[in-house]
Amino acid sequence: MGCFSFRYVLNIRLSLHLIVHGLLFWIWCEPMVGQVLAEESVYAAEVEYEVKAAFVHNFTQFIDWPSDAFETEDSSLQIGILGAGPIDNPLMNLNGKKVKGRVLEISKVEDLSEIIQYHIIFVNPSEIGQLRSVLDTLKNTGILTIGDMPGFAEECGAINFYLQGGKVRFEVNVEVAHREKLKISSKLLRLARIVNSKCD
Amino acid sequence: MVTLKRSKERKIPSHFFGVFFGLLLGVFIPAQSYSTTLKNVPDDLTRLTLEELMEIQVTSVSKKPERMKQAPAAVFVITQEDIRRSGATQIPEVLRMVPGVEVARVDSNKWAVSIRGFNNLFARKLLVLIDGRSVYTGLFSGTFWDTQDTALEDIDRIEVIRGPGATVWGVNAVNGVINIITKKASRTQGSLVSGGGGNVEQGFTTLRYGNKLGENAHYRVYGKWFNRDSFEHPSGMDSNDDWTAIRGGFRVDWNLSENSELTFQGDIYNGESNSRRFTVLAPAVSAVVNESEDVKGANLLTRWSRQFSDQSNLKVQFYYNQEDRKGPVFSQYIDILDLDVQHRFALSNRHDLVWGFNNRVIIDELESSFALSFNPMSDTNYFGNAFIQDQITLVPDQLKFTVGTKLGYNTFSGWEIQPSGRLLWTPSDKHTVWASASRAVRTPSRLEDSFTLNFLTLGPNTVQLMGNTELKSENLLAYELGYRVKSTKHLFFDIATFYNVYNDLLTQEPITPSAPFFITSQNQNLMKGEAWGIEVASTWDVFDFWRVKAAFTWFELDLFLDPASQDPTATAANGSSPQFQVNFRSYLDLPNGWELDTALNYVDELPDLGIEEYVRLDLRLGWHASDRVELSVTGQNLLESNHQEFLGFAGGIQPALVPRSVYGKFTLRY
Repeated sequence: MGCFSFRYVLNIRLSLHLIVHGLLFWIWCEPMVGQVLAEESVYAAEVEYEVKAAFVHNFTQFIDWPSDAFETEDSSLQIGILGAGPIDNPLMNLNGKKVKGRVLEISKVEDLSEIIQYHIIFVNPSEIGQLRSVLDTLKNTGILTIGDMPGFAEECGAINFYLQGGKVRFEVNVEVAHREKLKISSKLLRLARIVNSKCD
Repeated sequence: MVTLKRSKERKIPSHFFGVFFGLLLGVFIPAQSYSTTLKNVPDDLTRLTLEELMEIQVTSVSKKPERMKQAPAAVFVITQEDIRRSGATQIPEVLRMVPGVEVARVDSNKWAVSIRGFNNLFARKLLVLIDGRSVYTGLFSGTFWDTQDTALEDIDRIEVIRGPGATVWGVNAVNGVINIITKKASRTQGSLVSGGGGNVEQGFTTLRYGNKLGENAHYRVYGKWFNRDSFEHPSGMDSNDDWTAIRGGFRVDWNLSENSELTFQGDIYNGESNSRRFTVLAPAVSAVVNESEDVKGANLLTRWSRQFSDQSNLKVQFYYNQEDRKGPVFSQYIDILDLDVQHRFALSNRHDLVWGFNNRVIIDELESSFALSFNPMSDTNYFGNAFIQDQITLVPDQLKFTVGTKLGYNTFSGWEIQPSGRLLWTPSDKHTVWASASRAVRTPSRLEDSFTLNFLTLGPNTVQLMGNTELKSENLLAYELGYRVKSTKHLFFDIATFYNVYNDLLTQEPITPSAPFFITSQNQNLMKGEAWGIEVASTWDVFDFWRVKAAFTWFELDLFLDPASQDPTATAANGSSPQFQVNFRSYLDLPNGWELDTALNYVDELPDLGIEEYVRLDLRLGWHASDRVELSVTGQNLLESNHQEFLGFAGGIQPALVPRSVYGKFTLRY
């Protein structure tokens, strides 16, 4: 042990002293820290949607788009959000992240006729009324569709979230992925529930 | 006390600490405004793998996940994150963070681990489980920690329950239970490769692969190898305690239906654990010898569980465990068969019942030497028990009373009854108060029943200790009181106190020697004792990027001999446990995927063993180079070149000095 001996410093009395002072510090300071964090963390309570957004981030690493889906080697990967829902903020926070050399760019889809720039479109449950027409429009565009509503994959959406035992799970319609010429890695498929409904 | 005087003389360093931490806070608080902190929330999640994301509980399905917070017992949970960030490479090293637990490394491959006192190289008053399989040796109910291992990355959590957990758990859970639980196979999908090395860790690697088996089943297989260097004996000699092992295993989880699940798992290992041992070679001839033990074993476990409803489930588990050690002083070949059944159901709104039974057969075959022999050399012993426990809701959501008892039979001490009563009061979501009174027994083991140990030579005489077939169980009456508070989302605080009354503790009493030139003593139950203490654990999420955990232990033990006893050594357990222990950990997430983790551990002196107090400092610097690559450097015991933590008196094992060590590690996941 060097010239400065921790052994003398960390004795019993000091330990107690530190604990008592630590407690006082908690009692005084902790409510303030908590308050400041609580004010801004409206969405922080919505763990479910943060987890789903993290899944979307993860998907981008395990899915390959055809090379002509990007203009250049370092073009950004565009994710569009259709409709509105609690996942919007967590998804927006992916903006600027880098995945396999591409920057993620997240934006709201304002007009379904101008979707050609996107690689992923997340369909909010708010769109369930016109789901069929939405998915029809996105057919053969090479866009990965991700949804969060029962029946999304069966209706020929590519990936859909569902909850099981309070945990987030996802299903993949492999026919759709094939149709859109998306290569989904076997690792992703291993973790997914596979949906095989005819989609052409 | 000497140390107190020293600290008075050295007041300045303690101020230095205050200033140091103040600066640390000062640097980090303004540097990170709260809004950027919030952006870090999804940052943290996106760094998780798919498997990890799939395990996050986003909604609460039933009351069961709350089990730990609601437990009317002193419970501490070590998470996978705790294990990873501790930089520990062996399971017992991870246990240092738990209040009330004593961990001392005797030599490179041996640990003395106990809960609430009575620590020894083979502490016998606790139960150690890996995925529901008892891993303490069937021979003398101590734990050979050198063979308790698995891929550390696959451990989900380690639950440490201090105090008698006898009602639900098996015998031997007198002072506590250490329950090591691995992840389900669905959470270990894909490949993992890790490896590294350093000055003590001379090389280690873990390989794991997981995949689906059809639609409803997942599996994983793993392999692991390591080679660890020897330590130094206090005399300066090499301690000859280097060790190596290779192991492999698998786990299959199969969802038979929505409500039922079948698990099938197993491990196999083979290793060599070396040591220096003082041993009596022949009458009046003793020496310190280098020895090498071949250790190998295998186990197979199957568990079927079915959920009938929210309040009702059934679990049936069966396993086979083989545990062989071959050395010059003694060899053991032990087979264990164990069947465990548990059924939980709600009798009414107020009564939640659990009942079950356990049957276990231990078949042993032993080889002896002059130092250690057994009579008979081969034996089969039976253990059986049944338990019932009722959780009665006195005031809904506020007051619960749990009463239960276990009735057991074993071939050594016959019938044993172990009742307990526990009260749980949850006045609000934040506060939990619990109290309990329970009785637990430790049944005599095969070794204490039938061994002869020649452990010392005195001139022409050989000193020996013999087993006793008439031994009674050691028993404990424990009174506990605890309080837990989660004062905000960011602060958790747990305090547990206990008062233990022990009866019929083992002593070694002189008897008429079996032959000339022998001095013989025999195990008897002639000691009583009292123990009490306070254990505190707390977690504080200072910021999203900084978590601090602290643990504090105050322990007192007072053993006293029956007037008939002539044992001069038994009360040494009084001073074989640290009176105070403090553990402080800090997990700091830095930008760009860097992590800086600190663990500071103070352990008080062990006066009856002549072990001085010590402070350990462990540091780990980790870097997530990408989502798939993690690199880290860990330094352990950084404050001293080495220190001694225990004696190795059981079986003549020579203690070694625990050195400063550094190792580097990489982990790849894909």
